[in-house]
Amino acid sequence: MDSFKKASRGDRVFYVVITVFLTLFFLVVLYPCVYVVSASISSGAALNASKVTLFPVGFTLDSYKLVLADSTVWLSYGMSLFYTITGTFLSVALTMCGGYVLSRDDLPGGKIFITLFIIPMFFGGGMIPNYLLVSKLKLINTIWAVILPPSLSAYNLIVARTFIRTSIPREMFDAANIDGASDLRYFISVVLPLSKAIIAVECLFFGVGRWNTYFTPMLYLTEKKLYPLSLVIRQYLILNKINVDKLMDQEKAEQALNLVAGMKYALIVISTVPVMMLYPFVQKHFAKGVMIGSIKG
Amino acid sequence: MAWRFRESIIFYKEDPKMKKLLALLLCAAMVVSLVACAKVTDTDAATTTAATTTQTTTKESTAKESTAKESTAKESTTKESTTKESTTAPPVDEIPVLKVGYIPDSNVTDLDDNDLTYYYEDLVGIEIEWVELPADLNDAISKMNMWIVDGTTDICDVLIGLGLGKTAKEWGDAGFLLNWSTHTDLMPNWCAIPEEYLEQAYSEITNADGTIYSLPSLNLNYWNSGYFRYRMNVAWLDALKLDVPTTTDELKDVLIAFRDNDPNGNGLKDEIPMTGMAGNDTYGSNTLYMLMNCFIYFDGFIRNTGLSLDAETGTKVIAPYATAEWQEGLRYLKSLWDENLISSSYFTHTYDTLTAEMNTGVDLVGVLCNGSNGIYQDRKSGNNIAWNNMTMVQMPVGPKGFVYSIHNPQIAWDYAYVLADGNWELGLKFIDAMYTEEATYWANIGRYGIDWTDDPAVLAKASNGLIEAGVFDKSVLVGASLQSIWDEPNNWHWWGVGACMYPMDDNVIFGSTNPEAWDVYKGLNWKYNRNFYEHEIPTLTYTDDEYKQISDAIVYIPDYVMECFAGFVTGTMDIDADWDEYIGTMNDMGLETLISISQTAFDRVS
Amino acid sequence: MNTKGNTALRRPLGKRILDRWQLYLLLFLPLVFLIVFSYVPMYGVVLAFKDYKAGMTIAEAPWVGLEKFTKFLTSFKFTTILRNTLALSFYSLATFPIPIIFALMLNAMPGQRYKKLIQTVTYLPYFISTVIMIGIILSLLNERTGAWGSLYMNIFGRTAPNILAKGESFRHIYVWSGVWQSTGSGAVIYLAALSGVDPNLHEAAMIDGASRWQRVIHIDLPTILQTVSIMLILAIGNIMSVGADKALLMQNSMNMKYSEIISTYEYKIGLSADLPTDYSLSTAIGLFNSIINFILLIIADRVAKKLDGSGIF
Repeated sequence: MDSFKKASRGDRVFYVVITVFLTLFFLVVLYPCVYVVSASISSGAALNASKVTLFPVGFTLDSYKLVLADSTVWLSYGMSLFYTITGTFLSVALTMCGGYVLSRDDLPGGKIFITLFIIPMFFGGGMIPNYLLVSKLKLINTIWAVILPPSLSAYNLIVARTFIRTSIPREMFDAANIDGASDLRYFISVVLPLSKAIIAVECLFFGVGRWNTYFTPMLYLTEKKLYPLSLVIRQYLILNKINVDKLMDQEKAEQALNLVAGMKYALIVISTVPVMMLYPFVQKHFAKGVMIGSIKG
Repeated sequence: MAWRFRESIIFYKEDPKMKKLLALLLCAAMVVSLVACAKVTDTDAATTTAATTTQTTTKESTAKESTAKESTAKESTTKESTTKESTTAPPVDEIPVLKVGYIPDSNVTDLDDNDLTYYYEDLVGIEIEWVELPADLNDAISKMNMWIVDGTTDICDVLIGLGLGKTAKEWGDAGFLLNWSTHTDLMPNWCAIPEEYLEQAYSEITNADGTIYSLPSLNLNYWNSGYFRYRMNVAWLDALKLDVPTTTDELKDVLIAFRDNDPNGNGLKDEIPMTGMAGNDTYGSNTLYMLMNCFIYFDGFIRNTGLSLDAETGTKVIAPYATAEWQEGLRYLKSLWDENLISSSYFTHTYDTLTAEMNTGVDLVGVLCNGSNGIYQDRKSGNNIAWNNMTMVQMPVGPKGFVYSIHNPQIAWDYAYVLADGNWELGLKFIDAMYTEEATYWANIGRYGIDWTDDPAVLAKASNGLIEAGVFDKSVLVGASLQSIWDEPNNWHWWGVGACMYPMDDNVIFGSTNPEAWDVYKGLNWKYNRNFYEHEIPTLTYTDDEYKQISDAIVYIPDYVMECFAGFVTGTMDIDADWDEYIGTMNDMGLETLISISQTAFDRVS
Repeated sequence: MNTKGNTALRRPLGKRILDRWQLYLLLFLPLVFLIVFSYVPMYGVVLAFKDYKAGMTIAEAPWVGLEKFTKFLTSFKFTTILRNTLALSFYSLATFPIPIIFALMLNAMPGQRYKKLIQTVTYLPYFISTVIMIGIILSLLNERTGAWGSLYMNIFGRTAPNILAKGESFRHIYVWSGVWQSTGSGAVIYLAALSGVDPNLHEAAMIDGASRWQRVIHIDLPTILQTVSIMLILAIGNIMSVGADKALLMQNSMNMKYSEIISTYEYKIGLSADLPTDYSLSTAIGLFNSIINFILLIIADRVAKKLDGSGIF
């Protein structure tokens, strides 16, 4: 639809202007990404001397070697993939079910339900009762402690609800009703297929959220085998600061630091790879014309 | 309207993948809900039991607390039997397992298959099960707080490699940590430590109510007790034919010469006469704090919220940053700032940006106070200009003719704790095993015979920076290192997970046959950085009530002093006109209360 | 058939519920999660009114009423931290339109491949942890060794002024680094909404002679207006939630007047490793923030309802 060739002169100017803006923004945003990649292949000494600004200095693959040689990294990578996939699946299911139901005007008590969902967004018990709950459910130190608690996100539920309300008009439901379709059938046959875009977005939100979360896994897991990658990365990020409280001679502390300076960048690159691969799949569903043929006039 | 719906039915029917996916989705959702529901109904019954268990555990721990406070051996036997009852008695031949919680160090390649681990396992007769704690101390404390809340206090028996500060007292009172003041009979090595160190250690680790929860590392390392190392670019002094300045006025003149006369000879006036990093936690990089010691002794908030003792009698607790001498120092520093003799980044530097400033490849800096040698990147190869040209020199004296070295006389550093609910006897035995020279040497220098030796033939050829500087005689040497254990990640010591528990100074008693390892600057540090204040204040300990009154002041005052310090020196605050407001604000924060309570605490120990 | 307003035709509640039993079935699972993981632990809110110490159960902790709130509200720095928190929030809120504009521009841009590239790359900074991001920024802005310094030197021939030394710059750097990091990810929801734009409308408009610019304003924008409205309401409901991580990393002795916010205060007083953890205080502060957030959300929702009938409730 937006073709430069077929555009009028005014439109061509418009296209050029926005492309320029977008390119500038793109370059500005590209910088930290390039920096992180460069840092991951620079030598520890160069990093500590703050010599790396854009391009790698003292090219070395040592950081990656150290990271990939650490079996914890591989294991936690796998665990993160597992947590993210199962968790996202569960979360998206809950969000779409809840979002659909709450989008229905004719649901008795709809307003009450929405309020019920919103209140916990603001008022929560904090670390202690949540920990006690997970403990009483005997979930401490199991994968379920990571997967189950964050599954319902009222925020995403509201976004999904809005999406369904605005993009799937009332007439569709009336038509389905006349054709004898039940609420459930309508949900499965009409709403879900037409909600590909929002499902894709929710997959992305939940996927990324779960991939990056480290605090609750830190709190609930003691077995290293179950750690997600985000927690392993955090350990490295913290361990790589010069700690003035450290008991050792500072000399030795510095020596040790040089060796692992590049690791945190290598870890970030490795951790971002799955998301980079996921994003194009998700992008497909943002393509225009998803609603073609479903509504006319 | 009907045809539209049918279209979407067709749309849906033509997409079998979608159908399968949705069916899968619903099935999975149902399964998960059933599982979750099952767990919920399960625990409705368990909830009441769990609540009572938590209650009982807390009651038990309160009971343990009162037993701990009394110091009769009988009480400890009762405690012993309670613990023994709760754990299943192991068969006679089985080696007991000790669960050690630790903060990881990424340089240890393997903690299980580790020579030092085997050493302790053999010595104490245990098998160590390592329990990794979160690397961030706050995270670790949160996690352990949850253990206490939950009553699952048996995940570890001991904790090593972390400093809990005030939290240790709280946890001790809650019955989570063991008060070992009554169990020194189980710690022969600790009791065998020379009296002078033990006395000082006890005064530093004992709480106001007599309990002791911390098992400290007794680190005499002089190098780390005074880390404001004052260095000057002597190459520039030579180029400009100047002498090392001996007074603050002379220093100012030298700095002006650095600024104007192009000592690095590149034709540009790009020199930075003096730099450093502002802040209260910069490991010695706050040059201006160091210079304040030419006017009054101030330790940069290392201990006791920066309080010190008055110069005349040494019995009155004062706040150096609220005195007229402080004002004088500020005026001096402001005069330096106004003449552009201090780096414009001084008050916004981070460690990284300071390092960048020192490593531009151009000889840029004249004077710097800094603790860590890490900012001189690549110095071992001889390529770092700043490292080559700058050396430690004597500090300038102030108008009253003195200058003090910022010094931390503390020798007890938080390192280990034993949990009250676990295998505490074994835990104490394990930690006690670290208080030997042998174990301590291992943690710092390495394995006897492999990493270091005491062969007299080798010792004759060995030396170290302090011996070379003439501070000590060769006879102090206990060993010579054969190879450095800190060069590569390895598994024959514990790196940061371990510590030097027995009081020693490896800078003094260990040497090397390799002259390059004789850190000459350490000798210079001894020569120039030991102008100790005559009335150094001991580390004060407060009772719980006292602490409640001063906890806010302890948090607010250091940041405020730093903020105003920056304001006064850069001129955004007026040293005379704004002084009353400055003092008034600090009093609002509780400075007067802090001083009076600290006086009480000081009188208690003196 | 909407019989809501027509009381004569309205069936009894019980019948209506039974009619819609399938909806309740679908809602069952989300409700279970809601109750178990959100409502059951909610009792912990009472900690804000108790003095909790390690080793107690929540029930055992003594009641202290509003003591923790008083401590917080009458605290020495309260006006400063409140002012700073709100300043940062409103400033950030003012940048709310940026991801929207970005999404609209990206959507209107020709060239599929390039568009996808921009989309993917702009999304990435979201993954770079705050620690590294701030490290990058502080390095760049150094007036001697950073890009800022080099650029200034090349243009003006002398050393750049130190931007970081000016306290006010804290707010600008804080907010714009946030824009830098999260515009790409923030635009995702709007791009998804834009995918629902009816291409027929565009064709019709093109036939009528509308320019691309006009089409953006009159077709693209109205389509996503409901989404924008909801996102805005939700953002307003998050105003008090300014995290401590970034502020702590950016604090220096020159900007303390601007960089002390509620969460940094909470961290230093209640959570720092030097002092025993004060869960009661942090719960009280959290409750204070939550109440304000909630009130603002309701207000924003009412306003949205009045304006165009959208809204959450």
